[in-house]
Amino acid sequence: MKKISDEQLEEWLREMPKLKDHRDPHDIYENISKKLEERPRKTWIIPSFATAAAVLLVAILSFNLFDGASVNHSADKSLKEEAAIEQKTSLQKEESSVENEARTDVGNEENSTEMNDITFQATEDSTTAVYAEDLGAMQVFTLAIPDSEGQNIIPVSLLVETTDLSDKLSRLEEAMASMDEEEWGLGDYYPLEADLAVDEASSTLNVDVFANHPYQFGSTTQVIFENAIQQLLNSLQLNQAIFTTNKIEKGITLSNDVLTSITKTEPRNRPFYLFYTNDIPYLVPYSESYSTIEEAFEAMKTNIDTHNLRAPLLVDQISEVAIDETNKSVVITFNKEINIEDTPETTQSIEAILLTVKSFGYEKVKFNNAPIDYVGRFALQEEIQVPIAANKKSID
Amino acid sequence: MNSIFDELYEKYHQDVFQFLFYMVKNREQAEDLAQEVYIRVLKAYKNFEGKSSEKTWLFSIARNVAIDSFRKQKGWKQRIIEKFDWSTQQVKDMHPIPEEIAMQREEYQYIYQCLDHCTIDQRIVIIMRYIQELSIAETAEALSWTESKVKTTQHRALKVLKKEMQQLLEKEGNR
Repeated sequence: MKKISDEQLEEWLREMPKLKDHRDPHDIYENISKKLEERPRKTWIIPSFATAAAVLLVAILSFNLFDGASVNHSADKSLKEEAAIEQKTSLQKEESSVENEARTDVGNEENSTEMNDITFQATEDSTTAVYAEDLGAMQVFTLAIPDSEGQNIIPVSLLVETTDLSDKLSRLEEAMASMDEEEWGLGDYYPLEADLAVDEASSTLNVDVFANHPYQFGSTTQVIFENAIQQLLNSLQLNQAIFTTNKIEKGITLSNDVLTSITKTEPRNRPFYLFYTNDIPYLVPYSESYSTIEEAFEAMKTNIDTHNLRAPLLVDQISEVAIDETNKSVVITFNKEINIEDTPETTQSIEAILLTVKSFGYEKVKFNNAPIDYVGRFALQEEIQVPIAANKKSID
Repeated sequence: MNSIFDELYEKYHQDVFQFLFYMVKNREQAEDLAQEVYIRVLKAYKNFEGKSSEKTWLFSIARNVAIDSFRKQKGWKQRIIEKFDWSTQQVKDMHPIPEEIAMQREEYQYIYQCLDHCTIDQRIVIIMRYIQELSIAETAEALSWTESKVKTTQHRALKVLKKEMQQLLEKEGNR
């Protein structure tokens, strides 16, 4: 079998048969006008339907969760009434057993509020980051992935099962090859078009590219590439990257200059924002850094519309931030009148606060004046550990 | 009929339709999506600033429409309802090879099949560059990408196609 050449393939592609629409343009226009007319009506019916359904669902769920005990009471009552009317011994027997059950329920009432909390924790975890307790025997690798517009650089953390730590790079390369960034709503970026090699002795990542590599056009491309390499250095715990072109020439041509090496720097003091793509939530650090946490929180009150970054909830309700340097912890006091709802967005907003705190080098956060005890998995009355890394993803 | 529609139909309809057909590989769906393109275009036409060419603007809308349809398709309900032909109680083939291609040389049929192995972006680039014969610059404009991203994606797509084609041809050769 002879090999297909690029030219042959390109020729076939150019000769692909034309596929035509055989419909009459008048019919098409008619269909379109019909749709253009009926559109506005449709657009509000479906959301309001969905809202109604959601309200109903919430009502049913919260009724079950909070009123579990009282439901038993009323059921018990109605059973009693029925029994009184019918006066049947068999029913009376049944009733007494129901009554017994009900009594044990009442006895457990104190526990039942606790139970509700546990159910809450277990119902749905809308957190996005990696926490110490999720880790087990897994290793975290964080990669910098651009969004599909190339505007934001999103740190995505992969949990990889690894037995052999010395073989980190090949595990990482496997991960890069098998992940599907587009499925995650992000831009297709990995694997890198470069040969990577680790030199443990000098703590160096050697990066070799072809002369026509794709990272040389445009300053955005350069920023993304440098970020990607920085993140690799962090994940591989190496100190520097050295660049070569075609294996021999020193350095790599980027849009503005020729880069021969970079040393590891960890981006610090960054504010984290919410970013949604394909309805998937991400927590994204903005490229500006601030000298204090207060300033970062102040900035996080406003959306960054140019980058589609959304301000986390709760930050506009922070009245005071106190820092305990010895404990490496931050105490955040909310306004007294704050209203917190347990929604996925609140959970992710708390994560944005935690990650911002982490970016300033602190390890724990305590919230004051939180009116509810739990948001998602977070116990608001207790000290909360900051996550290990942002935006957890797993690959098969 | 609407004069804007007339003009766009005359100039670009078959191009847009063909792009969508190669993207979704289903005539009925391509017909629906082509209509969706007009709906979006007619709504936004007054906002069209002429920054990009009309043609690349239209292709960028067609691309968004196609991607949106893929997203919707991912819902489990559609997947079950569409793939299951209730009259025969059988799972039907969603992508039968269209007549126009089935009558042609085998290579074209294989390419049509192999397109499935490309990512969505790769498929878009291949269709725009080779089947619609857009230039690199036009493709970059339609996708709001840099030209180098178009080139890399095209390069990767050709690599995927070549590998899959090679395998298919070898399989056929061994029969």
